Amino acid sequence: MSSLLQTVLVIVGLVVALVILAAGLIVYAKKSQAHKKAPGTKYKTDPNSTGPQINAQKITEEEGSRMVAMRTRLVALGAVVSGIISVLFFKTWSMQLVQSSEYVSLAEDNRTRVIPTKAPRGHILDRNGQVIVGNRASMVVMAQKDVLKDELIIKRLANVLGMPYAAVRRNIRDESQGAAAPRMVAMDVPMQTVSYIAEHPSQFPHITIESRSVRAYPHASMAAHLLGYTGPISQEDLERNKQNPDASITYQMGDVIGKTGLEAQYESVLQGIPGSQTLQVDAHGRVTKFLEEVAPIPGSDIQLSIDIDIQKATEKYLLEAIKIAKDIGRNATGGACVVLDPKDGSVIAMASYPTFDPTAFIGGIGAETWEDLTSDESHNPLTNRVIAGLYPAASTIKAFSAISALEYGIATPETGYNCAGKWKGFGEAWFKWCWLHSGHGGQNIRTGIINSCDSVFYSIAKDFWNSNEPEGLQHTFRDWGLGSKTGIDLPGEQAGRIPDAEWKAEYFKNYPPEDRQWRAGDTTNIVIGQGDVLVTPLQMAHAFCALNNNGKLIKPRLLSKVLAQGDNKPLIETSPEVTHQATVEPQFLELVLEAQRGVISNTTLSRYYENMEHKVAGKTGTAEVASKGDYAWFVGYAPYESPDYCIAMIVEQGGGGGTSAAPAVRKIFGHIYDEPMPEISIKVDNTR
Amino acid sequence: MSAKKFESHSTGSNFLETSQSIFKQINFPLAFATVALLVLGGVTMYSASLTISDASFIKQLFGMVLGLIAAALIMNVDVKKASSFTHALLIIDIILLISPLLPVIGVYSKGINGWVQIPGIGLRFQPAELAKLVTILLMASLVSQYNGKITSLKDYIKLCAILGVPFILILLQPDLGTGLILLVVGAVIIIMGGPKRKWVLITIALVVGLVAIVLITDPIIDATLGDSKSLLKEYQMNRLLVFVDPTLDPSGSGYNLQQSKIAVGSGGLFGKGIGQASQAGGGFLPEAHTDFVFALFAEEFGFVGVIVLLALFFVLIITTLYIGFVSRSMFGALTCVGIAVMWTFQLLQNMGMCMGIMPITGIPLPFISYGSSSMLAQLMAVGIVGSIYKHRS
Repeated sequence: MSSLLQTVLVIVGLVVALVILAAGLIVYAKKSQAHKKAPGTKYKTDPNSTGPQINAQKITEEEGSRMVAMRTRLVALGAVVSGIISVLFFKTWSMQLVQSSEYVSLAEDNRTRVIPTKAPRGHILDRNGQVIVGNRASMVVMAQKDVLKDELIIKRLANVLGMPYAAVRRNIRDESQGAAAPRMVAMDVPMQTVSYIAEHPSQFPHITIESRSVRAYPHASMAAHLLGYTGPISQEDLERNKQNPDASITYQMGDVIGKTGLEAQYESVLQGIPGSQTLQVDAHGRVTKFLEEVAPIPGSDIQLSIDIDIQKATEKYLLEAIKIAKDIGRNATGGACVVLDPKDGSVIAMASYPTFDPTAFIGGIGAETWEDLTSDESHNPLTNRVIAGLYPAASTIKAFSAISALEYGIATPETGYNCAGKWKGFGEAWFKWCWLHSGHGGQNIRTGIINSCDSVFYSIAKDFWNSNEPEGLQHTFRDWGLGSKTGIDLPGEQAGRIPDAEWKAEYFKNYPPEDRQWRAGDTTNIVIGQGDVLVTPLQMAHAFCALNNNGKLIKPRLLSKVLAQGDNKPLIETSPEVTHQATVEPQFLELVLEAQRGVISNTTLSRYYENMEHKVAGKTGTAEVASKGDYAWFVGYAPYESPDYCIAMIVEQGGGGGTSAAPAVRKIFGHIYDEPMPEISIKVDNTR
Repeated sequence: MSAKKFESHSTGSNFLETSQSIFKQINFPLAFATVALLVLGGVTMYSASLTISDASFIKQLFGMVLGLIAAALIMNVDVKKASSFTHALLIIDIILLISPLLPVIGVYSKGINGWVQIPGIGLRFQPAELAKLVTILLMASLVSQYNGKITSLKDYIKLCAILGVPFILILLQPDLGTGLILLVVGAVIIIMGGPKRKWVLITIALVVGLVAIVLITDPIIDATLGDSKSLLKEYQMNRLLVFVDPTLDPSGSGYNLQQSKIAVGSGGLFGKGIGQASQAGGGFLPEAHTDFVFALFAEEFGFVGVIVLLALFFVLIITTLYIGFVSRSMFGALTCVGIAVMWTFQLLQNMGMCMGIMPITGIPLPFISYGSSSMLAQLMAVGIVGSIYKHRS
């Protein structure tokens, strides 16, 4: 409605009104003149007379003037009437033209009801396009909170759903989706029950049935940690979404969002755009007409670098390693394993134990299940230990300690060391044991790595301590990405820690100065990956990949493609991203890699590995954790010449790395290369 | 103006003269505005009947036909003769207003004892609509006796007292809306009759004071004797409160007002079209065919339609005043005043209520609102005006 048209209309209206008024006045004026010209005009004066009195008595002057007075009052009354009609005119004008749009939208709000239709979430596929997470329809029984007032309905519901009365009642009382929101009583209700409830609406007032698209996990709890789970949006998430001006999706109460893992990481991609149905309703809320439908746009599918086959094997052999550790009397509580492609940083498999069932979170998790998943006895099944488990790196760090020593000139490949079992580099009073108490005898850096000889590295630590670069070890560790996040596309990654003097002073700031000081013993601790060194399994695998890439650190990534809806044309394709170049001389790198090959071929590990066509290299580790049993590490890669796979595994309280972790990784390689490990009895291996 | 007219009247034999005589007998602006309003009303009621089951288009048409016949009959009678039957008018008025309160024939509906139904016959009638006309004739008859100047205070008080009779009777039903019409119409007739200005001002002051006392004491009476005993019923009080603040109770009286305003405002310039009114059709607008008919009209026909409606009412009312002006009879002039004021007040009240500038009272919009009683009475009023015009000299 243009303001010009409005103005024109108002002017026209006013002109018309004025013309009518003027015409009335002119007529009045003429009549008055006529009266003056004809004073003999006759008036009916006798109110009690009957019939026309045309020729009645002449009107007196006074009576004539009374009729004139009456006519003046009539004109005044006409003016009042005109005024009232003008008021009505302008009020209507202001409502229908000036404020009209406001009322139009109010009328639309009255007339229409918009029902949002949820968009199916995008699927999650493995590298071969197999579905890891899909969707399925689930029939859900919802109840308004009014149902709580009627015990009978709750009893009936419990009856048809086959649930305990208390459980039904508890579900209806749940206000987590908002005090006024309908509550979910049960999901995955069988069709038979659904139709019974639908056919008896009078027995089930305030009860509705919805068909919902929920997450389906064809491989059950496989890869649960990296996939994460979905759940109804929380009040806090909703607030955050409202306050974020960049948010591409506007959420509503009751929306299902990714809570952890990839579901959370790629929420904006997986979450579709809800559609809507616009219905015309009457004042009683009855639908009178179907107005329009906006189809929901399903979320995009994402393709991962994960290989379902290798993922399953990884989970299987991790669990087996934990079992073996338990069998030999270890109190193994958990573990983690990650398989990376060193060439491009893609994550092929990622397993963490103990694990959980993501289906438990569909439609909101029950309080009991949540308690089970978060209790101390459960050992944090929700934690993805690959990215958030922090462990001492132990002997797996020795390759980097060696590179550090060589790079800083603390040692040369030819430098000789002697291991007597008891290392007394800082004097008799400060002796330290090599893990092999009988001693390794004459050693160099190469054999120090192969035999994991602690004495060699204690000596290196001592030389660092006495050098101009007392923190050279820390610099090298950090150079290879240890103690910092790798930047993998998963929420909740932990950085870990490479301790130094500054850290120690800060960390122990409430302690006496002597306790806050960096000491020689701290350096001899970190050189073998102990003390306050904390890394994640992913960091170790990441760093070992870099060893095979001339020191290039490639960011690990799970997402390989975002697929357009309908076809398999990728919208987004990720590519390897080199985040850092570690400083290392090629010949030193070659020495270390060759030594790690020796770890497999020249030690007790050869009995597991040397039956393989594909040559494996790697390093074991046995982490000492205060008040706990040793943690078993193994990081390996194959084929040795040009690795396609790098696997890092830790078994919490699994004993020595050679005992539980190394044979399990062998089995994973065996699965990958179809070279299963022959039946070899696992021996307790004290190699570090 | 006189000589030639009488000639043609008496000797009118050829066509030209006959048509001239028709022009002199029928006031065309009056007839045109009436017919045009009936057409608008008919279309409005037709569209209302599409969605509102209570609104019967046929019944409304029946009311129109009945009213037109009544109007034609009245036009051919000289209503001025009624001025000599003052007492009879008063008695008829009283009978009409008491009849709905009588057992057997009185019918209670929508909160008031406002209807009469002869047992055995389905027709229901609202006597108060006719009583409005009778009261106008009664007051015009009384006031015209003073020939434009009321000099005695006793006479003035007598006039006010007689007006009080139908007013109090209608409050017994209790139909406050119609009561207000009677009061306003009667008061204007008395004022037009020429009392002293001082008396009028004192009367107005007294009425305002009385209303204030009623409003103030109403909650006290409600609390002590109960709502049924008090003069203002609770819903009436609520309507007044909501008029002051429409957000007070959006689902009660305030809801009605809000929905009515939405209907009017959303009509826009050209309206939503016949049968397309979502507010009325969807049932959001209550009483869309009766009390809130203007909101329905404005929603369907928009501002353009409202301009036409207002112009027609303007023509109708001003013409009526003009006819009073030329009637050469005090009684005729005062009757025209009464009818013009009745239409003006009903127009103001019905439209104003729909737009929130007047409190909510159930007053029909003449010629448009659903209801045969109202239609009949309004067309009879046109007949009375037409008669005064026809017998103006």
